[in-house]
Amino acid sequence: MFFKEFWAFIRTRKKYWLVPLILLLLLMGLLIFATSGSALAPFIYSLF
Amino acid sequence: MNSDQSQTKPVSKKKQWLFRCIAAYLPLLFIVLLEIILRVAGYGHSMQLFITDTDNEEYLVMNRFASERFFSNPENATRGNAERFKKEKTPGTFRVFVLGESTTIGYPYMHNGSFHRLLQYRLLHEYPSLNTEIINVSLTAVNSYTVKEFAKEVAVYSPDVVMIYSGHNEYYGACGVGSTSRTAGSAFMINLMIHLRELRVMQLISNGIHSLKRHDAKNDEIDVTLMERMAKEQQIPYQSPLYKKGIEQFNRNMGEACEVLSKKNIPVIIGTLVSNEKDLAPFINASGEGSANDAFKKGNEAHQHGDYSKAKKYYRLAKELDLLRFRAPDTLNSIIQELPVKYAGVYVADAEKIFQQHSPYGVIGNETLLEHVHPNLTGYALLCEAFYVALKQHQLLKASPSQTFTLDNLFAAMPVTKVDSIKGAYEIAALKMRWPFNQPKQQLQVNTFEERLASDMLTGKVTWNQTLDTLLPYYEQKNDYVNALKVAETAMLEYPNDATFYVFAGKYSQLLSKTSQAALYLHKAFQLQPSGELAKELTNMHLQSDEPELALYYLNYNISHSLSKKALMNIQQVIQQVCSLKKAFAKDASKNSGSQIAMLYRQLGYETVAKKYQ
Repeated sequence: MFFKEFWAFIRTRKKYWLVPLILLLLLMGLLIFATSGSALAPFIYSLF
Repeated sequence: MNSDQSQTKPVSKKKQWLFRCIAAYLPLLFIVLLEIILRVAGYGHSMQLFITDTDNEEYLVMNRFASERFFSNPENATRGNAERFKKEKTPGTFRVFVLGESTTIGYPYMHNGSFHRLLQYRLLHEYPSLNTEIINVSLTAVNSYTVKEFAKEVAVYSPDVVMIYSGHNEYYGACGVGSTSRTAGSAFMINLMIHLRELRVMQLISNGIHSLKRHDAKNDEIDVTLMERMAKEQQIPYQSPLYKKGIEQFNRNMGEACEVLSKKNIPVIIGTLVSNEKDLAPFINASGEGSANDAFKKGNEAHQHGDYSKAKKYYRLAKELDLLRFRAPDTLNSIIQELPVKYAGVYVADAEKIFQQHSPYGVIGNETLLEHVHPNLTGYALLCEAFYVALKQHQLLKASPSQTFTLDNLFAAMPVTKVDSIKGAYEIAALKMRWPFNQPKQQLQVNTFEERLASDMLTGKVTWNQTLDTLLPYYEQKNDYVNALKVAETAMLEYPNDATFYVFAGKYSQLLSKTSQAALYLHKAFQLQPSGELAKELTNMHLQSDEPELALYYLNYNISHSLSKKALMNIQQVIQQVCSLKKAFAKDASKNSGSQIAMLYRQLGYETVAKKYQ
């Protein structure tokens, strides 16, 4: 729903230049999330 | 206004595409601009391995933020040692970099318990005139990703040897396949992230995410049940896809590290990995026949019946089948053994073999290890022996030793204070009370002065340096020069460029009648900071030890730096006579040169040495 409305906003206002910027930031966030350690990591780290 | 213009003046198709391209590059420009702004504003930090030492600009030291590249949450990033080395390598320096994990840094003893400090101590005794720099850049909780990245960076600083001991953290260490399940062990993603974390923009995003997480987290009251539940998600069965990914990860990263160093003709020594076999039951067991516990039970039975080779086989199988991979699989040792075949200048330090030789019936257990992988002080001396043997065997140290300092000499000397040793025991006791050991809580014995200091150090009430400052006068007051010497040697190894601690160690060695050791330490102090007083002391000591040539060397220093040259030159003449007479005496002891030497020594006031020649 949110994404649909946001896409409509971009189309109406012709803010297409925002798309790559948002995509890049999303990718970076995704990369941080994907490579983050498990919840157990801090406890495991204290073992060695 | 702009829209009006665009309506009245239509843009050509060519220009439209150009503008689209510029628009597409705008985010990149935005990121670059933000990066520049953040750097200028001083946000975040560099994560390169070495930075200029703030105390002395001629030196480099390990960057305390270097580890943050490997940890998704900067708060979990571990810190390494701060061992300084000269930016410009001085000629005649033997420079070694040490890479690895907690065992490599000397956990739980840290200062001086580690194998690299024991090696430094050994080389100091064997090559007193050699400037040895052994710089340990190991970190706890890291694995081959860190070794690979650090190997690339240390290669620039002209090392004579790089030593590596790593592998136990391959699965659960930072970036390991067991701790980054969301990427399914993708090397591309992890390597990309390691490099992107250098960017201040990434640091900004990451700090933002983690500060938000911090508000939500209530991890402080995490209970054992939750830990066990989470641990279940971390189980890695033998030969499972994740298990194999861990093996591939180690093979690839260690291969890359060796390749980088080998291409630059830098010799590498890699240690085989040592695990507790007989005294550590599997952490997590799959039920039924053929499980880890079943193998461990069979190992125990065989051990009880005296069938040690069978016992060893089952203990190793139990380790392989353990679902919690805190001990490196045997395959990693096979990979290590193959590295010298693939890369020139790579050698193996067979630590596992040396541990087996020093374990009852060749089965590794609590005699040399504290728990699953970390050695006790005997174990660290054995680890030092493994690297020392490899260093000698492959003639990687070209200088000739002035004496041999054996493993037995090392066992006898062990430059580790009682407090460090006790603190290590406390750390392990505390560790074993936690998951996954879950041993019953026990009250630590805190009675003696050393135990109280160790306890204060553990709780952070005093620092390690403050402990040394307290210990030295304490032992001096008690005339306990054996322990005072250990404190001085500990400080000497921690600050190898500070002459003061060599002087202290020399003084206590003299008080313990260890004359040659005292001369060695004072010689080192003289090398670092020559002084008339030290030269006088060394002249005296070498005459007492019947080493007139060496005495002459220090006397000459005092002649060239003293105002009362005449008196000293008279002594110089006498010593020169002793030197030439000793040569004649060595050729033919029957001539009367012996009595002449005795007479000259007596003239100088060295009655004990004089008696030797009568």
